[in-house]
Amino acid sequence: MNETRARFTTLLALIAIYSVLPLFFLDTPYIVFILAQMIFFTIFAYGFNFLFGFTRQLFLCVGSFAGIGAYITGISLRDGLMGPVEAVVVSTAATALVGWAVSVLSIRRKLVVIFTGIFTLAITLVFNNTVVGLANITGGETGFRIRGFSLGPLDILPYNLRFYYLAAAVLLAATALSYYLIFHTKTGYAYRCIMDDEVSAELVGVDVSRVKSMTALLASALLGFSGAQYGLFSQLIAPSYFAFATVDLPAQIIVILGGRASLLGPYIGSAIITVINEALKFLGPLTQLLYGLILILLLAFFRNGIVDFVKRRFLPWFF
Amino acid sequence: MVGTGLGVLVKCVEVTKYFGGLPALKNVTMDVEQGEIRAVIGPNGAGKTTLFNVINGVYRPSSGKVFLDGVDITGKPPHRIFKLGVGRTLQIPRPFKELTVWDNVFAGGLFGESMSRQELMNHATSLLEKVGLLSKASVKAGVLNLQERKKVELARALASKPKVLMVDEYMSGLNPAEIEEAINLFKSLRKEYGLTIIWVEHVISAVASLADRVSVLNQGAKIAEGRPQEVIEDQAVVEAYLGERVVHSSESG
Repeated sequence: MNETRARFTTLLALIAIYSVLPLFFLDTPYIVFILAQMIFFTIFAYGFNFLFGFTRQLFLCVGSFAGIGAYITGISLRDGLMGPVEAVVVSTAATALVGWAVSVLSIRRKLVVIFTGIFTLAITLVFNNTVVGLANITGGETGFRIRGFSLGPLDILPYNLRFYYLAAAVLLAATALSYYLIFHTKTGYAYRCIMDDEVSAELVGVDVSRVKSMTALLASALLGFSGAQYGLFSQLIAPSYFAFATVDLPAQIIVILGGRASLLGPYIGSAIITVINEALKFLGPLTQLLYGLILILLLAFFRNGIVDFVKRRFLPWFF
Repeated sequence: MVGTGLGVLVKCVEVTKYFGGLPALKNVTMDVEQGEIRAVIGPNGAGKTTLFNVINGVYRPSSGKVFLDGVDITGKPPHRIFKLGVGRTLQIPRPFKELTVWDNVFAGGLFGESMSRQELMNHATSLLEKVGLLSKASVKAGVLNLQERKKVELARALASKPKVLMVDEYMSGLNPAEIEEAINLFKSLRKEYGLTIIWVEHVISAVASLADRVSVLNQGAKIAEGRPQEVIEDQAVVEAYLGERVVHSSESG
């Protein structure tokens, strides 16, 4: 099959590009920092994409889920409660569990997309209030620093590059796993059926509840896992780093601009957003306003995203 | 009574379904034999579609049981009942709009009984040929007209080689020639796949020429059952459809 080969080649090219990309910018740590940041946001967008793009579960708590991971890991390491590996495992498991529970509850209570959105937005508020409220543990509004943390053999690399490769490995592994599930198992068909019509999906034997809740479990695990790393990378864990406007909004823009329910979409979306973000840095706080405007315009005029556009016009195999 | 002699395949025992305080089905008992074409008729709101929804698991009955081939399937979710061999089409067809006609049928067989990919592809092709949509195999189902959508759904429901096919109103909106064609299609489907068909229908002429037996629902209760001719002439059935007064006046006249 030619399409399969084209897809696989693209996947390999993606791995190659992300492996060598930062090597061109070794002299400017700032750019490596921006690239690492971009990858973390691509991962957050990946989580949102699986929840909303593939299974129509509007989780407006992507930042909070990353935050759960970051705070559990950060506090555990700061206070010496757990070793680094245990801390990340616990963070991942806790976030996965919360995501799964939210999904199961939404399915059981038959919350439609919009009510799941309101429900998860409330989770974002609860998370924020909890973190700010428990100031003696979390450092409240200003958060706490977490420094001098070792990544083992990666320590020989410059600081930003360490986290770049760590995040890139997570992202590419997640992409490869998704690629396998979607193009080499029935999961891809199940997603297409669910996206199209949940009633009919059930009629052709798709266990819609299970697919949704398992997807929520895995996507939340990814968010908790990468959130923990993002906290360490940032060296400061504070509520504003995981706020709706900081994480959810960009993640939504990345997914909608790049293309919902596609595997390359978040890569394309985050690359574009990163360039725009850097080019318009001089705007300062106005970037938030810009994000809002971009999202409005995208939703109004370009809902299907770049990948869909490329698929329709140029490359039917694009994913 | 007409019997195929192969035993009961679908058995509903005293199925009752309440929505809020209102009964949509009241103590409906129905035995559908293997290989039979069973029509379920009744005026609008009689509970026909509700009965379908109880059989394939969309609704859990308030009381009563549903058995498939002797196995209790009451309250099992639709995807599970599908895997046990019950295919279904909907009153208002819902094919996967963004998928091609071919992919719709392929998806219909993908999650059911294990078939090899080649076997499924051959089966899907022959089904599309049977319903007359092979020439539109690569068209997205969303652009099809109502009749074509019904055909896609029918082929999709058959892709997993079900034991029981539940068809919810296939004939309405068809012209007499198309009805004739559809009757022949169902006859040949039954013959070729050994199907048992439960079929909700409003087009009585089609019911009369295709069904082995007819169950009549009115206001959630089964009011008659038997061969099409017997049922259509049944006093209670005529009253259910036309109202009592009309019957009285025809008697007096």
